[in-house]
Amino acid sequence: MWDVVIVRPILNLLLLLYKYLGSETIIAVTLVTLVLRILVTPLMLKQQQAARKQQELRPKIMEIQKKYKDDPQKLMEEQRKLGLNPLGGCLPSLIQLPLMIGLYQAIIRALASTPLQLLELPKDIYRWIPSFSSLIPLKSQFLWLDLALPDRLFILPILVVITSWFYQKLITPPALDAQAEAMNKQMMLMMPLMMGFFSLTYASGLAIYFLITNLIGILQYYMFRQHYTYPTPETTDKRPVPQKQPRASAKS
Amino acid sequence: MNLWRMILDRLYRGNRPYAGARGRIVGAGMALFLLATVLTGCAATARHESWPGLLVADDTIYAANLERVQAFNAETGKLLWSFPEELKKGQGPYYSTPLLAEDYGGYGLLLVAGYNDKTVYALPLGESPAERPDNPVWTFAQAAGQYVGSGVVADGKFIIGNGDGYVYALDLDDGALVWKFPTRDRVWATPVVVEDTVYIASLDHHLYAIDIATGVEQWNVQTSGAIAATPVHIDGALWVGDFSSTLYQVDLETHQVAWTFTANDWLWATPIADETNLYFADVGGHIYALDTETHEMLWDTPTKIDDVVRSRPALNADGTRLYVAAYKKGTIHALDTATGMEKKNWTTVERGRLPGDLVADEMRLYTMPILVDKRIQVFELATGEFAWSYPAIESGK
Repeated sequence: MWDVVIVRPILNLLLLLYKYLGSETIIAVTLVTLVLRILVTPLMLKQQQAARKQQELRPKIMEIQKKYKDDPQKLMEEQRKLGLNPLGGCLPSLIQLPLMIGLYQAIIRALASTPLQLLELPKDIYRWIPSFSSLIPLKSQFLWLDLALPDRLFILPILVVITSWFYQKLITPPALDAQAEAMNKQMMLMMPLMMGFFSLTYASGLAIYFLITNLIGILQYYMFRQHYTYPTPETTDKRPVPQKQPRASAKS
Repeated sequence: MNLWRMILDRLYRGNRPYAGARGRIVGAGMALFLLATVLTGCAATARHESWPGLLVADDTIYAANLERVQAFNAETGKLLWSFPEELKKGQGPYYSTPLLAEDYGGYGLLLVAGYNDKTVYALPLGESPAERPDNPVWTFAQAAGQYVGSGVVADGKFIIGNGDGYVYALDLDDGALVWKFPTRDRVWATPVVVEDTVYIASLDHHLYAIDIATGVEQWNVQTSGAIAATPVHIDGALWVGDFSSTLYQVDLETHQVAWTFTANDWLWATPIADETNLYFADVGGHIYALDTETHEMLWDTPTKIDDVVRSRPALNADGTRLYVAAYKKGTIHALDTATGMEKKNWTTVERGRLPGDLVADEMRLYTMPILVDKRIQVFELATGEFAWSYPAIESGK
């Protein structure tokens, strides 16, 4: 099911682009990434709007929190009335994930660095599109890279880390308290490092995907800036989070 | 740890404000975790296997088994020796089947070519098959790519294709490079020698004819797809299939494609021939029998196995049975060569996958399943009965 719905369409799109764009795998991978990114763009913009709305509603939220602090059920009800969806922030990441994994698997299968991997490929190729089989094996060399293998010169992983960090920096909303700020800082460090680690460990075709995704994301940020602009932090609460009081001993 | 604790803490306190920011961080964290899990899972399943190969010479089996070359008594399955005794980092696995050069090195040279270490080893055999070769007579490590196909011996040379796109001819006495011939893609097929010419197919969609003495190209034929199968020589023509599902008959006199046949799927398995008939299988599991003189199919329809077929089939001594290996299910199918009807099938012990070529002698069928513990499994040809395996099956199991 996974193969039929996700991997095969991506793989055959990759082959189609490879066939008609000069048999250059790097161009095919770049364009497939672009297509996938465009597909998830409306969702991402919607999510950004939702996040923005939540920021704007913050005073109202604070008010109802104060009002219903002893009635969590009622509190949730009131929050729902405001149109808040706690999962709203997860969706873009979770929707991108299958596409990212699907593209990774499509790249690995299409480039097949070993004969055994190549043996898995024939079943994934659409036979109703003529001459796809004649394209195999795809050209995996590009400059110093073998797209089916990790980049041994570490250039791509470094570029991925830099662009991931910059993209994270652009899209991270302003922190509303000290704890959130600390968390943001850690995420801004962790995410690029994780992406860099994946780029270092897996096929450089995946690193190309990360890099292109980041660059397109940065471009989109500047194109749709109004969706990413949050209310000024005047309304935000920068007070430190109160430290947890030690629990009173039952014996005392 | 602190970050994850904070993420969980934030997730747990679901009635707190700023769901957007929290959701984004939680989503990113979950995405990273899932991505790491899936990618790590992909890497774990991609255990570095190969399709190992073996040859049977007299009463001895020489097998390239993962990182080692091993010799066995063909009758009993007793391990005679392993090379090397201690593994070096980066050695193996072997895709290339060992080759015996009987007239060299006193009692013969066993020629094996590694995948990861990109090295050809010439192992000197002893007077007794049980005598372990201590050190290679020579090694050749100048190729830049991996060895997948096996080589041939001709005119004092060992000729083999490599993943760097070159065909190498090495002096059998000392392993010195005599000549190398460039193609435009990886060479995974085993060369074929006819008189003073070596023929080799490349993934660059060409079949090349090369002069054995000089390494100079004589002519070539272009095909629609990449060729990974080894050509078969029958009566002045080479027969070879490609990834575009086309079988070619290449006339060695005219240097032209004389006839083609379109199969249902990629042709990767090397065909097998008796006097005039050619038996071949595509990766989609269709098995064909062709009369090479009349170009007529011997069976009404191709026999279909519900599996991938990559390995070269085997024939029994009188040519009445064709043995085909189903790759994923690890099943051997015995077909009647006259009708294509299946007469018997059996599954290898532990249901290992069967990408490697089948080898048959008068009595037995030799297989090398992968992704299992029992790496060599031998069956009686007539009955399909299990004869022995290496490692042996423990008594009581």
